[in-house]
Amino acid sequence: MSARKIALLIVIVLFAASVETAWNVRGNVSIGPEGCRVMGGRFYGPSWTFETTAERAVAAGPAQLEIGNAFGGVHVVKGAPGVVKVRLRKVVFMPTEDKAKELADRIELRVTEDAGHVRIGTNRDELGRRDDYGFETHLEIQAPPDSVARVRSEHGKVELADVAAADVQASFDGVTIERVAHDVTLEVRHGGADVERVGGRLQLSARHGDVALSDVTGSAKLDIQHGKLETKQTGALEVALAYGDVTAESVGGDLVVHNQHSAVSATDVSGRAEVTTSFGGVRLERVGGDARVKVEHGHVAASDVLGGFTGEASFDGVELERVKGPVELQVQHGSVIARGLEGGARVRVSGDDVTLDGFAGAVDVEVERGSAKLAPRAVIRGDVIASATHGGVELEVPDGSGFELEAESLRGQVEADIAGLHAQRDEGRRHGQKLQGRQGAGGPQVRLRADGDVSIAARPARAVAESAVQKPRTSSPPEAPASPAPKASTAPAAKPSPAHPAESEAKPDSR
Amino acid sequence: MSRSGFSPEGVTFGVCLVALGVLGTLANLGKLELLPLLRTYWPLSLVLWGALELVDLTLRRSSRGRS
Repeated sequence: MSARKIALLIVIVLFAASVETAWNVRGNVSIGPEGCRVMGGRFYGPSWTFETTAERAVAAGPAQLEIGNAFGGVHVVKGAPGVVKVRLRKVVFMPTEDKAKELADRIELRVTEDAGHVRIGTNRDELGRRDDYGFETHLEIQAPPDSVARVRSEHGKVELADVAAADVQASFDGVTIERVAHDVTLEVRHGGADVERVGGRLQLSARHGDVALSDVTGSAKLDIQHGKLETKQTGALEVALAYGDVTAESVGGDLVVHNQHSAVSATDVSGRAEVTTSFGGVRLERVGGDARVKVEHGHVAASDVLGGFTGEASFDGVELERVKGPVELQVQHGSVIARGLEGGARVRVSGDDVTLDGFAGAVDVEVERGSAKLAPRAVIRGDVIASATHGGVELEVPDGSGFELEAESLRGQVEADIAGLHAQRDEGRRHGQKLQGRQGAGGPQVRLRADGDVSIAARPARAVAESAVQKPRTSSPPEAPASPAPKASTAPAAKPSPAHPAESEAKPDSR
Repeated sequence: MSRSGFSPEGVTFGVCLVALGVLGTLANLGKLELLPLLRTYWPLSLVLWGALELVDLTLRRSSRGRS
């Protein structure tokens, strides 16, 4: 027997074995309807598309739409008044057109009206789920202006635009909501959410997906797990988030963020800002009210705060710039660098240094295992109290300042190089030095105490900060489409008409 | 190459390739299901090959008889 014959025999045997193997695998492993169903609830394989349309007259005015779907998208747009138009696109996953058509004929579009409520869906539940077929039902709906939409969808993208209000529950795909005149309630699981131009309040719950909001006029309450959040031009924001970064721009009200395991960045908050997080940094820019930040294992940076600032941080530092109100900080294992504190400060730090460059008002600083450097820049008018264990204290005295001085070094030296100081040294000590007296005409108390050296030096007086505290640059979101507020129910349809289904030609798809 | 002028295995291989291509195209067009068809009818390739070998043998014998 020649080599060619042997080779051909091997090819045929291998081919037969492959076919048998494929057949057995398909028969014994449930991989989906006549093809392959993969994760995420999508069907793959040869498919055929069929279409059905229906329309139903409703009473003039806003309509209440109740839309239910699974394994397919829901797309709602604004249509003509007094009529709801629905197009159902049926995508059937079958190997042949004949089989697909047979199944498609059994998939019905159902549009019913009851006391002003228009229910839109299919008979998917009656057909049941079987392993030998799969199909998607995509609903495209033209709703009368100012309709209220209630959507329940699984395994399909939901797109909603130009309605009066929306209540959406979706899963395993994303949700897009645009131009809603009043309130929006959204619950999405395993998919992202994109919400733009909402005229009312927003309540959102999301699991496993990113969330983006923009132009939300009312307040927004967000509960998010495993996804990042980005907002632009919103009302007051209340956010609870477990695993994802938060970026908020232009918040027209209070910002409250309770985050875990990620970073928070907010700019232009017109109200107060309250942020709690861990294992991520916090950055605040231009806050109109008080700011309160609590971070574990993360850096804190804040600038241009019109109110006071209260911060707790650990295992990283705090950096402040231009704060108008009083500052209160507690930092463990991290430094504090602050510039332009106009309302005084109370600072407790351990494990690193404190630098206050430009401040007014009373200052009280305690540092453990670190040093303190205080440079008021402007004439001292409030009490300055600073102590450092295992470190030194430096104070720069602007010209023209007057105060009562008490400076003590437990193990080092006290150096005071300022004109106009009348003070006496305590000469009878075995260790350290103490200096007590009056600078100029006296005034507030300056008490400095350190294990290391205490240094007092004169500097020319300047402004507390190089620039004034900036206000938040918030602008009101653009108006959402005006419409009357949605009611709980609408009047019955004046002349309800039966649905008029119409089938169209099948089109082969490829996926 | 046999003395009869054609190679049974070459013809078999070519015919099988043509058949496989035609069936694959029809399956993609949704006219038939490929896998059950192949599973049922693949032994026909052996029948075709065997028949062609018999024809080749017959042709060679008759050729030897004439010479």
